[in-house]
Amino acid sequence: MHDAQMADLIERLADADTTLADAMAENDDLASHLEGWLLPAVDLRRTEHDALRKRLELAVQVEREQAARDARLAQLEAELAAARDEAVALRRSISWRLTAPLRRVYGWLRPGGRH
Amino acid sequence: MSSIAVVVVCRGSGRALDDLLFSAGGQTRPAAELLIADASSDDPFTRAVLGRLEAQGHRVIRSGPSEAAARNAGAARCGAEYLVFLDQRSMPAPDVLAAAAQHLDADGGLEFVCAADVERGDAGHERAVRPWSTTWVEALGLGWIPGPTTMLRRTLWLRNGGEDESLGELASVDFWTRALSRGARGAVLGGGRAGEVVPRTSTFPVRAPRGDWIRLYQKHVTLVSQVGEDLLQRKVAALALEAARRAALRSQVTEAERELAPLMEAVEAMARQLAERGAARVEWGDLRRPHPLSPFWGSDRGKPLNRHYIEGFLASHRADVRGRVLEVKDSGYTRAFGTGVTRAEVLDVDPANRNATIVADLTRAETVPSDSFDCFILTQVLNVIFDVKAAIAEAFRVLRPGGVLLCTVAALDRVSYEGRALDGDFWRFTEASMRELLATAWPPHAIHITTYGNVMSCTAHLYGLAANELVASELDWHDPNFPLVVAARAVKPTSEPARP
Repeated sequence: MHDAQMADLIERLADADTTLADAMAENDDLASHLEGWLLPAVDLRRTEHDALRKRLELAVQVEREQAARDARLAQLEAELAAARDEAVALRRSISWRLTAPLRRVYGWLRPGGRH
Repeated sequence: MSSIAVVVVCRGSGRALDDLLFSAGGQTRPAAELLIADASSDDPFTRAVLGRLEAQGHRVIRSGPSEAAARNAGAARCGAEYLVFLDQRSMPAPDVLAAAAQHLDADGGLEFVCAADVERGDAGHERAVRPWSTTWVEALGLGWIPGPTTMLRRTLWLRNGGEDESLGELASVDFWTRALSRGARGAVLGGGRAGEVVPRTSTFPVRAPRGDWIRLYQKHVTLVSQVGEDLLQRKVAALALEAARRAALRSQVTEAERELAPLMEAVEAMARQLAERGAARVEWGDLRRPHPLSPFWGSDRGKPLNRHYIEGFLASHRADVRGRVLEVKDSGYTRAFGTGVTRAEVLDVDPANRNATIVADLTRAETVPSDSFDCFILTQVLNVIFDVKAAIAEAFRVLRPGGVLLCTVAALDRVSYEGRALDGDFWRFTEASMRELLATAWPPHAIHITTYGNVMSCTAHLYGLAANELVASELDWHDPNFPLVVAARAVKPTSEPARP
């Protein structure tokens, strides 16, 4: 190989090395972005996502339980109102009024009743 | 059985040295010689570590500023038959040296034994053992050379004349090209024997300036003339591998981005749903406030968090608080931690301070004689001194040779409400700034820096929570990236050091 050919070959080899070094540097930057930021960010958001999902599920469950309690309460209140109405209607009836003296006598005769 | 010399090559790798020495010292076939060859590391941390190791009895030698120079200097100081160079890229598993030496013991014609390269692919998704190539063509063409932990016969090193320091990063490529082209025969240990191998990020491990490559090829012009075009083809192939690697990386990036975007949207959607229910994405609780729970560093709630760390630091250095001790403002810590204190002095710039036995400005304390104190306790003071370097120089001056500075500074804190408050609280420090500042007066090896705190204790301290409001595991968790307090112990040399 002539000197000129050898010099040319060495230049081409060095050029290839430089190109390769640039490619490596770019890839290393990309790998650094991937490993240093992107993948940890995905992991962190995944963890947060799971934690928030659990909190949200719990909040929804609490809401449902509260709604069920509210419904039961409304039902009980309605039943109570109906019973009250029934009692009022009974007290206002003629037979209730006619039997009032008897209830008073029973009241006196009961232990602890009025003497 | 032939003896082994381990040369730990250091070039600014102070943070890896302890692990490397642990790894080298824990070998099942111990090295007869172990030394650290330092390539003129100039960062204060590495210099401090080297100084400490030297003081502990390790052999440390200094060389020129390249790894090749360090390897040459290290090899020249060893006499053992087998040589191993370790650097931060490799922490050999405990049986690696024994296994390598066994090969050399058994086969007199074998000149070196190396561990196979263990590579993790990018993002740790792949793990592969790459068989080490045994040809000089691959060494010269691809920079594939026996990696760290390779054990070689001293005779091979000497016959090859060590490494050519003029070739910079390519010195090892040159060494192995010469060795292999002259027929040096080696063996490869099983895959993964090198233990913890730092992932190599490329298929082509050596990067060097273009001029160094040209010098390398000119040096090996005969070899290049034999296989020049082949070398070129190998480089083209390596470039293709890098292109493939780029494609793989881009694919991983795209995949991760595809996952991240909807994940972020889902998180925000859930955060909105929680907000509709009166809950927040982060449960701030009592900390959801723009003003602190205590503006007095938590002193009205208990012991301030920074004091917890400062006292922990001083307690661990009780033995230093002895003889004639100087403290700023009052002598509380001298009394609390002193052992054998003969005289407690208090320095203050404020003449109204009745505790002060010395009234002086620490940045120009001419009235305080030099070499006066055995210990100087300087806690949370440098933050409120503008000319920190001058204060450090004075602290150094007033200490006796052998005297100790115990200094703490805030890495993070509210602006002081004491003294000149907004107009007098100047600085916050990091481990690095503290080391650099102290190194303006002390030799680096005489400085030992410790940091205290973590993101939780920092947050708690800013809000004015006290130490008793955190549990021990929360207080003691050490995260060097989130320091609350930076503490330094610096010993004044018994002989005047050469100023850096």
